[in-house]
Amino acid sequence: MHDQQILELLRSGKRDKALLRLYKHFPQVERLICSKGGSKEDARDIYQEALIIFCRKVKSVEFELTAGIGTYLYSVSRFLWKDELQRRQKKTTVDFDLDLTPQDEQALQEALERENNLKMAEQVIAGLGQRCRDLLQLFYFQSLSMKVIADKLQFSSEKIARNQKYKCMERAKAKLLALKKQATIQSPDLSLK
Amino acid sequence: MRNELKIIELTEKYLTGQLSASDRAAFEKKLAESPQLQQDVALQKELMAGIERAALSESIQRAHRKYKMGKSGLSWGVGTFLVIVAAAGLIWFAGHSPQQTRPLPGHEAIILSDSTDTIALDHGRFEAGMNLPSQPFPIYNDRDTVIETKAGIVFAIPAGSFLDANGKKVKGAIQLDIREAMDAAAIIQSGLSTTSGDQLLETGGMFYINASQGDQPLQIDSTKGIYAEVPAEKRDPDMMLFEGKRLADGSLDWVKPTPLEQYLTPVDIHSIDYYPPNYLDSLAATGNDATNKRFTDSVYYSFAADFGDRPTKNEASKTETLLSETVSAGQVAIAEVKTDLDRRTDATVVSTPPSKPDRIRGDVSWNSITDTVAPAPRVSWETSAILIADNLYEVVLTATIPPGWRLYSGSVGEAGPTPVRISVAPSLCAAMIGKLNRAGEKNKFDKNFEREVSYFVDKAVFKQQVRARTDNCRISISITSMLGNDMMAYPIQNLNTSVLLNNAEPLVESLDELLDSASGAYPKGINPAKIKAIWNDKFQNTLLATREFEERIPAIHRTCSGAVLDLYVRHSEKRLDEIDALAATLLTGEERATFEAFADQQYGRVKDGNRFASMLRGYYQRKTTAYTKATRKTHERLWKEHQRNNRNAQSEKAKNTRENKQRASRTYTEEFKMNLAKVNEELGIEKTRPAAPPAVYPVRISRIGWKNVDKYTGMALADIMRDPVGNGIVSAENQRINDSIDARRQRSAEAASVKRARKTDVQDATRERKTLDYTHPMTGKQATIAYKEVAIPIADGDDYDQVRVYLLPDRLSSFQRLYERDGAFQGSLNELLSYQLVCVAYKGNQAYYNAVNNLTAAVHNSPLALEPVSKHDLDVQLRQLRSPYRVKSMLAEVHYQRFEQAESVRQNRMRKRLNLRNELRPVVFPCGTYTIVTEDDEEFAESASVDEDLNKIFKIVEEMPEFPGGMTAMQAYMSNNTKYPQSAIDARASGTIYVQFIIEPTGEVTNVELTRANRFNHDCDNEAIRVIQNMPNWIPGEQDGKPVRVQMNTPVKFTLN
Repeated sequence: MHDQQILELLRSGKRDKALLRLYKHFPQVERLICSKGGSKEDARDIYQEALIIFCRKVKSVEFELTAGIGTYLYSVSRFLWKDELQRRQKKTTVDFDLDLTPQDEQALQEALERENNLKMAEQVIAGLGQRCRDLLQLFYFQSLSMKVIADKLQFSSEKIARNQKYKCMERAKAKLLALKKQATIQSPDLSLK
Repeated sequence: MRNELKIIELTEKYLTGQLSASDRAAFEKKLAESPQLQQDVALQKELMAGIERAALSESIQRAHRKYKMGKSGLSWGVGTFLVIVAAAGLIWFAGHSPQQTRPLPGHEAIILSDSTDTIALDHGRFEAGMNLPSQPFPIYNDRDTVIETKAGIVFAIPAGSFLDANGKKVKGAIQLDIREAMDAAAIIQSGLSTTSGDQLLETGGMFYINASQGDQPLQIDSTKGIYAEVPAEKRDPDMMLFEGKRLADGSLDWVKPTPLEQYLTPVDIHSIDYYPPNYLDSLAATGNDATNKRFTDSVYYSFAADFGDRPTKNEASKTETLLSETVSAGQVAIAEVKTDLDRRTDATVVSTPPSKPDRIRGDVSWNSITDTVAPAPRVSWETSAILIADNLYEVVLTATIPPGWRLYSGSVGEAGPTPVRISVAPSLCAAMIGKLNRAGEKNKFDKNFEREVSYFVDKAVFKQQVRARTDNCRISISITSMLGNDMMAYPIQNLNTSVLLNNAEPLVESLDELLDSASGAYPKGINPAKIKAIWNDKFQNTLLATREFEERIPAIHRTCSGAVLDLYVRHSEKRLDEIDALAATLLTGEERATFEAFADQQYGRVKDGNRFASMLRGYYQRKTTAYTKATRKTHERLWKEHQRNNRNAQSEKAKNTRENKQRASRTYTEEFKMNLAKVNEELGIEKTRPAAPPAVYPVRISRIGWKNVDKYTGMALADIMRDPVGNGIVSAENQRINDSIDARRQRSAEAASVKRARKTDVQDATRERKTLDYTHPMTGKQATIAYKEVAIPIADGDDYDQVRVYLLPDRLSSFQRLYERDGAFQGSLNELLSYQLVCVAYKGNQAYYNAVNNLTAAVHNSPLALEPVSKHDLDVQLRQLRSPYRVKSMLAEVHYQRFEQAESVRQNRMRKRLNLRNELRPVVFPCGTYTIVTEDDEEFAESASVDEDLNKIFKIVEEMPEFPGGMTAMQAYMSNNTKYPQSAIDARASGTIYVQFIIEPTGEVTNVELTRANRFNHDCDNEAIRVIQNMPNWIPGEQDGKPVRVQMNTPVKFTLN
């Protein structure tokens, strides 16, 4: 399966298929992480995060595939794992180098930060009910029209669906705000460097 | 649409670029002005990104799962694969260290026959794996055989598994050749590979099986297959079965992975723990024996009674709404109770069966106009009644005053504050003795009322002595009070309360509470009767009695859904992972994920089990219902019995009280007579005799007929006729007679009143047992009745459940009781009598006794020690008392005390049982309680944080809204910002306006309105509204941790100087 084909799949929205294909690069990553003191679960989580970063990158207009996707994923995973190790062990010197250009590293750093910031939001979304989640995802992520969504989720009318969407959003905002308030009280030293 | 939602809509349109240019500009302008809006928009934006991320995550997780299953056929990924090959190949098996020898059941695999992959090889060429030692097994194809290899692989070979080259069943003896490589060394040595294509495999072991009859190679009947159980340290669910394909270079490639048949591990059902998580630990923590299964079972199953006769269909449905446990809001006063003198309706005896609907305890019922004034300070009252002597109680009312406020006590006239007024309703069963006593008053100048007033701060204590005429006397008290401080005075609060005068422990009342809390609403959880129905031999060797199911038990309990458990029981013949998936569809959120993860484990069935699955379904249902009913019945029976015992106790108590009263009154009369006699004696007053006439007229009667003793008055009848009334014609003689009659009348009246007064004095002294020093007002003589205080402590008095101290005076017919105060039993002794003191105490069922003869009236410092005594011995001791009448009453008294003790033990036992249940209830039903939701919640009726009507306005919430800086700051704000309208000043108008408003969840003040029509001036009204409206944002009120709209009231006072 060529990289190009995978990109096509992603761009055309056949996300699930593409992701499955992408898992073929997993063994390498797993090996890497396991050899650097991680567990299988760690490998799984890191790889998932790497995939998210990858998908985002693909969506952005400036994406250029300079190396193979596998290599890219491998690099990103390595980066993420180093960062995670640093966070866990609090040692600034971790004994493996990343083999990345400084601007790549910078870019990755930014991506990681962005994703971390979104983790809270993701948590909030995950904490909403199934219907809320579906509603919000269909609208914001899959960009379906309210009419289609109302049909799909069996709302009595488009207006009601829209109202519910706003209510969901309202609830989500309140939760997020509360979560943030909590976090600022116990915010650890989030120095990423 | 609400404002908030409109903003969200607008923000959404803005963030998705749907606004027109002008709208967009307007929005951005507003954005620049309002940091609040900025934050809002940022949140929404973040959420949008979060939604995307969440969706991505979900997709990735799905992909991961699929990948692990290798369903795509193309990417096999890394995992561990189980490989089994056809008869002529080599079998790879995934396992772990070769040390373990026990096969773990569940690793069975069907060996499929596939003879198409063998390639004819030259001898001498390298063939991977064939240098492993061969383990020959001769078997008969006509029989079922089980063989075990050196490394512990077990083969179960049904009869007729092997066929010849033509596909016909072979008969008789055949040779099996089995080779195995279960450890790394063997694998490497034998040249076996660990790859499949270019994918790395993780292996747990490999084996080879070949069969032949003589020279003929045989095949396995592919429709049957033979079973192999391969030993493994730990089961890895990713294991698959691979076949070996011989390549040209002699090596084996591993192909055609198929998942394993995951059989479940049956275990003895009695070894499984079906209890809710932490149940046994919690039970042990209460000090009970958690190892006794009968006990732990009986306690757990008793909770089935909570499910009672309610409809069971509502146990777990998607539209359930979970209500949190009812919260008692804020400070509590005593709930309003009607005065009830009818003894039969026993306010103290619980007369309701446990199935009462949920009652919110801690209900505040102020019958006051101010009960919607949220920020109003409140006085909280507590009442109590202490027994200080026979039938004499001291009722204590304690007021707790919020800090910074005063409770006004003295009356200062009309314009002054309303003093606190405590009035006790006249009652048939009680009499007030003396006046209401107050303590802790202060006097100061009060700015509000511009005069000196007396008041209380912090605490006010009021005491009133009451004599109870009957038992279980309830007196009704109403309290009026007013609070104020330097800034303002708060309106009057009225409270009705009552106090029960009863010197028995209010055991039964508290039991009532315990029971109420016990039986509240319908519990949300798994009916223990269901567990009882399955935890028996009938379900052995079913899906429910497997190690794998045991892993699910805690999660099932946590769903608190009987329907989830039902699924496993009802579909017990299906594959476990199918049921897991079904369960997941009933759940949401984290719970759903838990069961989806269970399903991922892909567990199958119990081998050879479940033939009676359909029969068990019916059994399960029947038994559940039966157990629930039975438990409930037992509960009700216990309950009725308890009530019967209570009623019995009540009547015994009443009898005892009656007897006590009679005894007390008799003793009192006797003592009084004795005292009076002594006083009279000391005063030299003779005992009343029939009065002897002062003189006599001796006459002799010699004839029968009328006689008359007369004398002449010296007046003619004619004179009298002239002046009938006799004004002025009263002769001196008559006058003298009249005078002396008057004088005598007066003297005797005086004497009589003195006598009455003396009698009253003696009565008082006797009743109150106080020394009386009497001086006869006319003769000046003195008499004394002396009472002396006695106090005697009982050694280790607190260790006993009950201690009673009796005084036995030598000359009276019965005993008196002493009561404990300040650590010692106190009373007063009449000097005329000599007393014997008797003390009887109980601890559990053991009685203790001691007696003191000739008790001296003093404060005894050394405590009296009690000796344990048997029932018989106690009776013997008592019979040795001096008067038989006394003996009888003492025996009756002691008998009653024994009864009371037994009652108390029984009540304790009951209470303990209830306490245990209450403590365990949250463990057995960890999801609280709920009420059945019948209306269809159209939208998101899923979890507790579901749509409540966000428009709802609360009046009382858990966290009331707060003005920033508190009440003092608010008062400061009010006084600084309120401008007295000129027109009102001119019109000399003043008064108080009541304003109500709503504090929104954002803290904003909205909907400012006047509450009552006591508007005295239009401009003042407007000013009041204006001031309130311009208040800075409050800290919003919260209910269930969420900010909600709360309605508030406040007075705005306009006073002219």
